Amino acid sequence: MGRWTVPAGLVLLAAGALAATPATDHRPADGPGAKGRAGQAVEALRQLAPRGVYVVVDTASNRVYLKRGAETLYTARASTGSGALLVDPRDPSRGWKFDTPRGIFTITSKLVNPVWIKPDWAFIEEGQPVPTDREDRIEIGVLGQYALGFGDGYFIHGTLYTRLLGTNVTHGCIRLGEEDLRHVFQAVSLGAAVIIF
Amino acid sequence: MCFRPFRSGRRSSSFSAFRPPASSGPACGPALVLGFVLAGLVTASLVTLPQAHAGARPSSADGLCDPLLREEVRLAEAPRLYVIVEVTNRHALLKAQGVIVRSFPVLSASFVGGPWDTIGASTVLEKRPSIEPTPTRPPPPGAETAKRATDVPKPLARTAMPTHYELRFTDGLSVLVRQGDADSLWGQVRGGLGGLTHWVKARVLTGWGRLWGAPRRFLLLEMPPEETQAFYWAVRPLMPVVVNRESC
Repeated sequence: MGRWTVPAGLVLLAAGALAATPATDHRPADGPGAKGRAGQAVEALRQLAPRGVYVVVDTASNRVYLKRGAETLYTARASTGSGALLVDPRDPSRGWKFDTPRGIFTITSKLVNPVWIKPDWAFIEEGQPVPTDREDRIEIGVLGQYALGFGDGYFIHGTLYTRLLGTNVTHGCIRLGEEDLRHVFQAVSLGAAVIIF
Repeated sequence: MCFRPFRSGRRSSSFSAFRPPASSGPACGPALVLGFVLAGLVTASLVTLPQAHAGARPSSADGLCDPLLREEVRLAEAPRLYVIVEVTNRHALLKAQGVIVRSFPVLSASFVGGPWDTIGASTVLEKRPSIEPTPTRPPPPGAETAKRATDVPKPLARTAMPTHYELRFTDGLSVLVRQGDADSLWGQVRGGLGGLTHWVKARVLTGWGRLWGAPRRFLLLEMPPEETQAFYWAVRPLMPVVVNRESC
């Protein structure tokens, strides 16, 4: 039970076009508004703020927010990690913790019609033998129309289980409904910040 | 009568067999001693000590906010979440890269111990809940679930988080959080008792720390019930927290 790994087995294949628009800087171009060191610090904070539209994920209330600066542009119900533990019955030293990672990340990929390559834990959880053939791991259509990767195999993607939106049920990825996913996909550019708490 | 000795007769040969005679009155000696000790510690915590950096505190509004802003710039430069507790403005702000990602309203805030005259980030050491949130286990495997792997607990949702807890920091700071805003009379009584418990705890630990030369600081926060749970969920070990007493 000593070794726990994150479920980084979500591998996606882009079956469609990869939309890659550079992030736009929407910050005001004005300089320091106040004199003195306090004014400089305020300006420094403004410079550090995420550029363009960014994503905020609240794993406690299972909400995804699209924001620009301090303004909230869009709110969507989501499903995030369950925090559950899974132990491989054949090898108890092997386990997974299904948490959505917390912190600051960036959108590293944007995929259309993603395909899920099922990792080992997906088979173990279903009580099925883990296949050796890669072809047996492919599942089409379960991740929705789009997926946005933010590193380590974690994605914002769609779901078939829309009735579970708003609850902590996933294996670490962030699930959105079809319409919300489309909106987020169109609004967010590669390199945009993803802040998860 | 409380100071009356437990035994006035001959010495018992066995410690475990030792009992106070029925005529010796109530055995409240230890309770009184404990009461005196606690009162002494509370008194010690109430004594105002000279601040370590007395006189260094800037007087202008710019000068008060300047250290806070510079500290926040330092925190915002790193790719991490941090918390700024705005005591005067009555909210705790979860921030990243200088932007607010979540605001937690604070109903009341009070300070115990010190010193509080320096601004710097404290690092969360641990979360000590009044009741440890534990994931509920699924029912024993039956025919339906036998094929599934065991040891898969149900999700640990925000509603399972505690409403009374202590956040301990590496530098002797503790933030005691409890729920407030109770509607019913019983809820208000219970809330009042909870607040008193927090206050006494903070006073006793502050006095104890002063006696041993290890100063401790306590910030007592009261939040709406759901917000206490959400705040517990959001704050993580190693997360930096800045307590701002001013209105910057």
